[in-house]
Amino acid sequence: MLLLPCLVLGLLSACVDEISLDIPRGEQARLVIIGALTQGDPPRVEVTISRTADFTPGAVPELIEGASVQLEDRAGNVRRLTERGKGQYADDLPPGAGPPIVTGGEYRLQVSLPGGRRYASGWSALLPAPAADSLSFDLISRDELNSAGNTVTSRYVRFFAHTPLLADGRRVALKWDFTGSYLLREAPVQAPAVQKLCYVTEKLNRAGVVVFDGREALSDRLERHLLFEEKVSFRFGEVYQLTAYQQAIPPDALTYWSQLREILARTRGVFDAPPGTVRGNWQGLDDPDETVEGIFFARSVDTVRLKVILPDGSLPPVYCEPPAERSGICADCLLYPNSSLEKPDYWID
Amino acid sequence: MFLFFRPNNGRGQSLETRLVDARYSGQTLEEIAADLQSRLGIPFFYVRRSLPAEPLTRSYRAMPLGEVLTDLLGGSTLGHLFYRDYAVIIGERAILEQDYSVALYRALSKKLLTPPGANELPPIVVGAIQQKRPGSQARVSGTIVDAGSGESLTGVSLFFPELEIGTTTNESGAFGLELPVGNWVLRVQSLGYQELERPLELYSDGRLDLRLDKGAIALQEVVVRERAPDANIAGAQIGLTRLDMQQIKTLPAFLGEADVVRSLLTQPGVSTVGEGAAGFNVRGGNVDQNLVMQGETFLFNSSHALGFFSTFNPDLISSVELFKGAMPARYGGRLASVLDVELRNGDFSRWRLSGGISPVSGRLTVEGPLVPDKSSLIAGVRGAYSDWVLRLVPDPRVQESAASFLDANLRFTNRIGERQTLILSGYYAQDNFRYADEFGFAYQTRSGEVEHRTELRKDLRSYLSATVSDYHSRQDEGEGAGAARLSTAIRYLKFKGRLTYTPSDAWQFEGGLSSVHYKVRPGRLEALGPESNIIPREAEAEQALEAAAFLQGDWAVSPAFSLSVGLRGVYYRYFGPQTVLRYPGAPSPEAVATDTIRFDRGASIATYASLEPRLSMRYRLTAAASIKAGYSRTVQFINQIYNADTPTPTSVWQLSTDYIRPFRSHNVSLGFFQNVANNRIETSLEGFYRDMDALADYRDFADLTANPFLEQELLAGRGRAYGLELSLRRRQGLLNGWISYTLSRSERQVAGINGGSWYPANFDKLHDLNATANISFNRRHQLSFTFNYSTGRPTTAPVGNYILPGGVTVPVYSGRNALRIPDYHRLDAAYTIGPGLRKTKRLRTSWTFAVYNLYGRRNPFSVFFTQDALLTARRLSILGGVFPSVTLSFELD
Repeated sequence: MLLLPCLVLGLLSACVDEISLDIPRGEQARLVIIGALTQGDPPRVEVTISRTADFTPGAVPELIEGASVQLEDRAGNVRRLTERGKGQYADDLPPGAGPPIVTGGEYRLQVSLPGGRRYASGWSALLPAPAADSLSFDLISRDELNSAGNTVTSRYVRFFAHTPLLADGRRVALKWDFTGSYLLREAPVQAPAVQKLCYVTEKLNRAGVVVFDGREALSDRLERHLLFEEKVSFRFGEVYQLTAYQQAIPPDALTYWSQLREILARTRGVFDAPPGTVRGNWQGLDDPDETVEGIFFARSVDTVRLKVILPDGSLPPVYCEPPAERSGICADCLLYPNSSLEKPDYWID
Repeated sequence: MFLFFRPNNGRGQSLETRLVDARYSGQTLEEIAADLQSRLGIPFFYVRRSLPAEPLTRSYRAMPLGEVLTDLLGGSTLGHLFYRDYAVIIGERAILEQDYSVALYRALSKKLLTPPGANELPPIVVGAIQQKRPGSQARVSGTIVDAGSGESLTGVSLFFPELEIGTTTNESGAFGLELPVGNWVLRVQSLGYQELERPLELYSDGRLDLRLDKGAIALQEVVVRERAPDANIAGAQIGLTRLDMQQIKTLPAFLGEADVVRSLLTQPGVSTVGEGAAGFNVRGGNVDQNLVMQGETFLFNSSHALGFFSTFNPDLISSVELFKGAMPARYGGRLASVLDVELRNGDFSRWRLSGGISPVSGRLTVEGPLVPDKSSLIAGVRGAYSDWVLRLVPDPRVQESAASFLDANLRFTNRIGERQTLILSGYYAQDNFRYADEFGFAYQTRSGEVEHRTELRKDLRSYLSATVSDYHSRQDEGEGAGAARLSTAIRYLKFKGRLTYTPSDAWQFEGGLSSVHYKVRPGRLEALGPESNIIPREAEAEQALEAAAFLQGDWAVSPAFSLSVGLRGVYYRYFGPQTVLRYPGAPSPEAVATDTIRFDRGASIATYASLEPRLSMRYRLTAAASIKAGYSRTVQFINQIYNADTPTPTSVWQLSTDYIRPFRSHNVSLGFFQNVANNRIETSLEGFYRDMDALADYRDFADLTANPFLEQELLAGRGRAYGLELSLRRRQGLLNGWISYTLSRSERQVAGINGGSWYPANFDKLHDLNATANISFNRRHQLSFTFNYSTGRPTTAPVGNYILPGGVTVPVYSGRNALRIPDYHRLDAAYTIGPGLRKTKRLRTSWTFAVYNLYGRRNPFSVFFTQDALLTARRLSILGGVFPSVTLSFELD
C-alpha cells in the first residue's frame, strides 16, 4: 500500500539512495575559461583558466599558468592581463589603461595557452544595469521530515527583489550574486576574559544561479521577485545582512547562466529534462571543433543590501549557546571560516 | 490416428456372424468399410493411411462378416479384430495378433461404451455420402451465429485437433476451410460462449452453420483466447499479439488491478523505461509512436496515476490486439504499433453486476438488456481513493498530497432488425495528482462514439463511425513567485467508413475512408497565485486534417500459402489561423526570423501525402509450423513533445508543420512459428528491422513549454531499431505460462547531437526477458509468478567538472545516453481463489492476493549524480519495496 506515497516521493527524488556505478573516465580534459568584465570604479576584468577534472579521488581542475590573455574592444584597443595567481588573470582598467570601458561597448578576450593554442570569446556588450530599488524578506514555515524520520517545522527566510527592468530605455536580462554577513558571538565567559564578536561574510553559493530575462517580462518592473530562500539557522541568530549584486548581462551570457542553473538545480525527478552540454561563447581558433567550456561576459552591477532581524520569538539559537564549553570556534570566533573582527564597511547598524 | 464411426448398434447377434448382402464395384476398402458400418451399425476403427487405395469389386450374399473381412483384407498385411463383440478394428495383422495394452482397451471402452447423449452429441454431417470420394479434400463453409439473437459471431475458433487444422470466422461470422474427407472431431470456441466439441462426418463439400449458446460458467469474465489453438501458425499477420484477459486477471498486478498495458509488457518486443512511466515502447519506437485505440477512439493519454495503471477497464474488454509488425491498412498514423482494445456489448438477456474492491481502488460494472435480445447497456466505473493511505505516511508533504483517478465507460447497443446494429459509447477518464503545494497534475479524457454496422449481404458488411474526443491537462508547479500553471489540450473529430467483402472463403477484401480533424492547444503558461512572477505565454492553437483511404485484400492462395496486401493513402493538411516565422536557415533558438507570415483561417500552411504499402504473408511448412514475413510503411503526423524519460500528462501533441515534417518508418519483420505437443506449446522466433528515415530529437536544454516556435528546439534526424524476439508459451496444463526474450537495439542519429554519431534511444535495452508461470491447481485456485529482467537503459552522465570563481562546482556531461543505469529485475506473485463453479449461485466472489516486487529490489528509474569531494551516483527508485495487495472481485446476477 506504499505505492502511491513512494510514487509521489519518487517524483521528488525521495526514494533515492547511493549506488555503485562505473562512471566513464578517461575523457580528455576540456579547457575552461571563465571571464568577466565588470564596470565599476575602476572597471575590472577577471579571468580563470583551467581544465576539467574527472571524478578520480583527489582530482581537482588543473589551473593553467603562463597563458597570454588579452581584452580587446571593437576599436582594436587591447589590454594584456596580468597573471595574479595560478590560472588567475585580472586587472583593473582605469581610464587610459587599455580599452575604454563604456556602456554599449563590446569586448572580447583572446587567450593563447603556453603550447600556442589560441582561443577567442564572442563579443560581449556592456549593458547598463538598472538600479535596484530594494530587497525584502519574509519568514515562512514548512513541515518537513528530518533525517530521523520525524516531522519537524522548519523556517525559511525568503528574499525578494524590487527593481526596474529598464536601463537606458531598454529591458535587460539580470543576474544576481549574493553575499551574506552575520554576527558570530563567542560563548560568554566570566570577566576578565574578552567575548569577541566576529563578522562572517560568505558567498551564497547555496542560492544557486539566479537570473531573470527582463526582456520577456510583462511590465517594466519586477516586484517582489523571489531570489532565493535560506533556511533559518544560527546565521540569523542576531543580525544578518544580505548583499545582492544585480548585474545586467548580454543574451549569450543569459543563455549560459540559464543552462548552468538548469544543470545545477536538477531535481532528479521522473520528469526531469536530460542534462546537456552548456553552451558558452568560446571557440578554438586553431581547432574550431574543440569544445571549450566557460563564458566571457561584460556586466554592469548595482549593489543593494538588506538587513534582516527576525521578529522576537522566532530567533533561532545562536552558534555558541550559553553555557558552552569554550573550545574551538566558541573559544575563538576567528577560527570560523571567513570571519573577521573588522566590521564590514557596508554594515548597517 | 483412428477414425471412428458411431452408428446405431445392432445387437443380438455376434459381430463375426452377422450376415452381409452387398455388392461393390470399384470402391476402395475405406468406402466399403464405411458402407458396412452403415449397413450393420457397427463401428469400424482403422488407420486411414494404412488402407489400400486400390478399388475393389466384390459381391457378397448372406456371407458372415468375418468371412467378408477376411476376403477383403486377403492379399494385404491387414487383419481384423472384433472388439468385445462391439466394434471392428482393422490394422496390421502383426499388431492385431499381439495382445493389446490395457491402456488401449481402456481408451476404446471409454470411447465406445459411453451412452450416447451423456457427454457427447450426435455427429454433424457435412456433404452427401453419395459424393464421398475417400482420400480427397472437401471444403466446409458456413456461418456461426449467436443461438439467442442470431447475430453473426466474429472471431469464433473452429479447430480439428486430430488434423491440427483450424480457422476463425470473419466479420460476417463466415468461415471456410478444406479438410480431408472423413470423420473428425470439431472444437468450437468463442468469447463468452460455451465451448462446443462435436464429431463431424465429412463426405463432400458442404455447409456447416452453427449456433452457439452463451457460456454458463464464468459468463461475465472476459475470455479472450487466441482465436484458434494454432492461430499463431495459421494467421497471416506477423507481429500480432493477442492478450488473454482471463489469464491476465490472475497475474500479479499492482493493487490487484489487472492491467492491459502492464500485461503487454510481458510480451516480446514491448518494454517501458521504468515503473511509473506512461505508455510503452514497441520494437524501438517512442511511446507516442503507438496508436492506442478503444473502439474507434484514439487515446492520447491511456495512463492513470502518471503511468502505473492504464485507463482500460478490464471488466469491459472484449479483445486486445497489439500489431507491432506489419499493421493492416485500416490502421495508420503511428510508426511503431497499434493497440486495439475492443469493448464488449452488455448482456442482452439478463441484468448482472460485477466489480471489485481493494484498499485503494474499486470498480463496478452493471449490464443488462433494455429491451431483451434487442438492446443492451453496459456501464463500468473504476476509481482510486488513495488519499487516506497518504495520510498514514509520516511525511507531512505526502500527507498534503493527493492521488486519485476515475474512469467510466458507457456502451449502448441496439439491434435494428436482423442486419443492423447501432452502438453508442461514451468514455471519461480523470486523474488528479498533487504533491503538497509543489506540483500537481490534473487531466481528463472525454469521448463519444457512434457506430452503425450493417450486414448488407451475407458477404458484405459496412461499418460507419463518428468519434469526438477531447483531452486536456493541467500542470501546476512551484509556489510563490515561481508558481505557474501549464494547460494543454487536444480534441479531434473523426469519421470512418469501412466495408468488408468476403466473396469466397479464400478471399476477403476490406476498404474504407477515414478523416480526422485535429485541433491542438499546444500550451498556455500562466501565473498561479498573486505572488507569481511567471510571464504568461501561449502557443497558438493548431489545426490539421488527416484523411486516408485504404484497401486490403486477404487471399488464401493455397492451404499452405496466404497473403495479405494492403495500401493506405494519406493526405495531410496543416492550416491556419496561424503565425509562422521564416528563418534564413534551419530554425534554432539563435536564429533571427527574417519574416513573419500570418495565415488566415483555413489557409494551407503545409500539406503532405503518403502512400503506405502493407504486406504480410504466411507459408505453412507443416500443420504445426509456418514462416511469416511482413512489411509496412508508416507515417506519423502528430507527435508528443517531451524530452524527459517519460511523457508527462501535459506533454503536448505536436502536429506536423512546414518545419516539423512527418515522421516516417519502414518496418520489416520475418518470423518462424512452431507448435508442438498438439498446439499446447507454441514457439516463435521473430526478427525485425525498423528504419525511421524521418525523425526528430531535442536540442540540449530545449524549451518545450508553451513554446510557439517549437521548431527551434527540434533537430531532424533518423532512427533505427532491430532485434530478435523469442517466445515460448504453454497454454494449458497444471503449469502453464510463457517466456519472452527480446534482443534489440534502438538508436538515433541527429546532426547536432553527439557529433552526428548514432546514439541509443532513452529506452534502448539490449536484453529483455519476461517469464510468467501459472500453476492451476484446479479451476478455482491458481498461483502465478512473473519475472522480468532487462538491461539498464541509457542515461547521460557527468564525465568531468570545473569550478566557477565563486566556488560552485559545475558538472560537465558526456554525450547523450553514454552510460547505462543498473539492470532491472523483479519478481511478482499472486494467488487467486476463483469463484465456485455452481452456475446456480447468484453471487460469485474471487480473491486475489498479490505481492509486487517480491524480493524488494530497488530498481532504478534513473540515476543522477551528486558531488562533494567525489562524484556519487544515486538511483531514483519509484518502487523500492515489497508491495502486497488483496482484491475482492464479485459477480451478481
